[in-house]
Amino acid sequence: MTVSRRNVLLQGCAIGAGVIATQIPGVVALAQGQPPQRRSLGDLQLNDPIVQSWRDGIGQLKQAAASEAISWANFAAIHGNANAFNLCPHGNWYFLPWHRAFLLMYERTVRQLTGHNDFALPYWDWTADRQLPAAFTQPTWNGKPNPLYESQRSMSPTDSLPDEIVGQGVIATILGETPFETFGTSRPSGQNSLDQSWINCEGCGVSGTLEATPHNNVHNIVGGLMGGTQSALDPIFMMHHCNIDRIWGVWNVNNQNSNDPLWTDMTFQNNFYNPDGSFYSPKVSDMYIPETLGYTYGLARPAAAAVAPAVMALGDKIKTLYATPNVSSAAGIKTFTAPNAQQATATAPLDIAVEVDRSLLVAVARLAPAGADRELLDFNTARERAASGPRALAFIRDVAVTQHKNTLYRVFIDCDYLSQGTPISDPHYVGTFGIFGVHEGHGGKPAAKPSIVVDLTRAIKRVFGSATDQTGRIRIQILPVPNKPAAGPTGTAAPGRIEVAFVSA
Amino acid sequence: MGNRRSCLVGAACACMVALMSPSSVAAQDSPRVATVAGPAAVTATAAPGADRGVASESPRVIIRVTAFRPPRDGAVQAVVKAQKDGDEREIGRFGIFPNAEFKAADPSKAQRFGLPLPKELASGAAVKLNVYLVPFKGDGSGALLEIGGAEIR
Repeated sequence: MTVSRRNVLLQGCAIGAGVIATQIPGVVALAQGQPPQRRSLGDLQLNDPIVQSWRDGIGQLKQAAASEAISWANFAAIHGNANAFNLCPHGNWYFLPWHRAFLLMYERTVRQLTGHNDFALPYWDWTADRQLPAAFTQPTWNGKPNPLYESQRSMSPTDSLPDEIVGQGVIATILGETPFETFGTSRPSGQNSLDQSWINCEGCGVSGTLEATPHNNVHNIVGGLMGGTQSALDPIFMMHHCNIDRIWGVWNVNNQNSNDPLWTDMTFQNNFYNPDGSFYSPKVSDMYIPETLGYTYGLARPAAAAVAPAVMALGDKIKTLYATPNVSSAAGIKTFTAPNAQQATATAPLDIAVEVDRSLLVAVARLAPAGADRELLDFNTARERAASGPRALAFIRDVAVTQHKNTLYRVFIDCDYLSQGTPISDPHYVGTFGIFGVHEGHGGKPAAKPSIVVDLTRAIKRVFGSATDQTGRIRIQILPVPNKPAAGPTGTAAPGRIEVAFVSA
Repeated sequence: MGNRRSCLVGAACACMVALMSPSSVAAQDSPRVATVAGPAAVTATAAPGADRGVASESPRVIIRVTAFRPPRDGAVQAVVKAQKDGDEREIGRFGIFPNAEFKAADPSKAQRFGLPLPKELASGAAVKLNVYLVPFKGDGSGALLEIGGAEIR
């Protein structure tokens, strides 16, 4: 395609100024006022329109010849080939804005190819969802090869990313780093001009925690193509970098970018493509505000909460549950019970199926996505938001235990591969309880067996959120594990019954 | 006979050294080379002057990596621990991306990683660090990380 300089300037200026030329496909959504929101893959079902558009768009890109400007292979080659990185910066301060523009290229192209103008790239929030998203691990979809699947990955569908790489503590460290050159990686050492060669001066700056810890390590842990210079050939690349981009957006809520002209005025000249195949050459300063680029993360400003109505309402309902076991007639509460006569052991976890109302289970599983800014919310706002949706609790009643002093009792749901080796970072994990001080009753009366309550809400969202064939059953699993090395014999647990209570908002 | 035996033994030793030495990086027993068998030890000292544009509100350790070789299978991460009063405390960890062998042609081409340094560790003129190589999967055999130096800013 012949690209005139006038066209490049026109489209570059139009996009950079946030004024959308309607002849540029893929950016119509912005002209309508509310940009499409990028959402977490953990909140999307496998057949969600967002996931389907990404699947379809990649499928079409992969069908195009590598010689075509708009093709999967050509887009990936912008980032790198089998031997080396190409235009992408790593280890210097252009890392974040360049990858933001790179992602934008894909997002706009998929809108154009699929006609889905509300499409926005989903992100892989690996702090919340430690395993590869299910949409990317299935070799086939609807009987055909899945465009999102990549066979060379080292990370299996049941491997989990560790806390020390993506945990909340790491994110807190990242968000606390200032100024921009500490957070977003520093300028190339010795940079004294806006020459294009400074953009991909590899490792010339000092990498901050964001690039060094989750970015680099997630690439390497996923492995295969993702571990090397051809990483953009793996469709999970964009979801990984979308989360990096989101974290930049969250950081910007409270922090300013660098105002050094050596950063702000750098143009990524002819680095990217518009959906029509012309070059897209943004400047760093064009990349600051997602909403001007045609997408949003829905970042909310924290609000002082003098009144917390949702928290109070939830508290009242939970008090009712505590006060009245197996209550099912109170407003906003529905309880389902399964009796039990089995014992959980270290080698044979307890697995109790509780038949529930499918619609209630689905309501919890498909809760509206939280905003992408929960790291920044003050405590009251975070509590209100968390209390505002339906939730599910499991009451593990009248638990008879043995060797409780040596034992932790881990709770999972619907985990088909549950064993001693299943980590607590697994998405099926709910929580852990211990039993302290089992003893004779007071005043000569026999002691009551202990009962425990665990919140199933997040685990239900993770496990069932993307399921298309959800039944009205949930399996509550209890696995005894030693509470320290060489603890002695691991104990057992035998609850009298399990109650699953759904509490509506 | 004795001389021939000595020559044969010497030749065998030379072969062993050649096999053990990484092809293009420092010898394995250098204290600044980390493998999964043991950490690289390095002392971070205060930088002579703040680098303009990299000044931070909080102290950081900048670690310079001059060479890397990935494991034969899988990936490794570098875990950095600071020593104080006989104890070790992790201050951060980083990965080398891409997961491929590299050697800096000169010190200015080293990859640099900045890690936050707790204030209580930054009060002295120097901080002793151990940089461990830890595998994500497998045993990490074959992996090697060469530290060119470290400084406090």
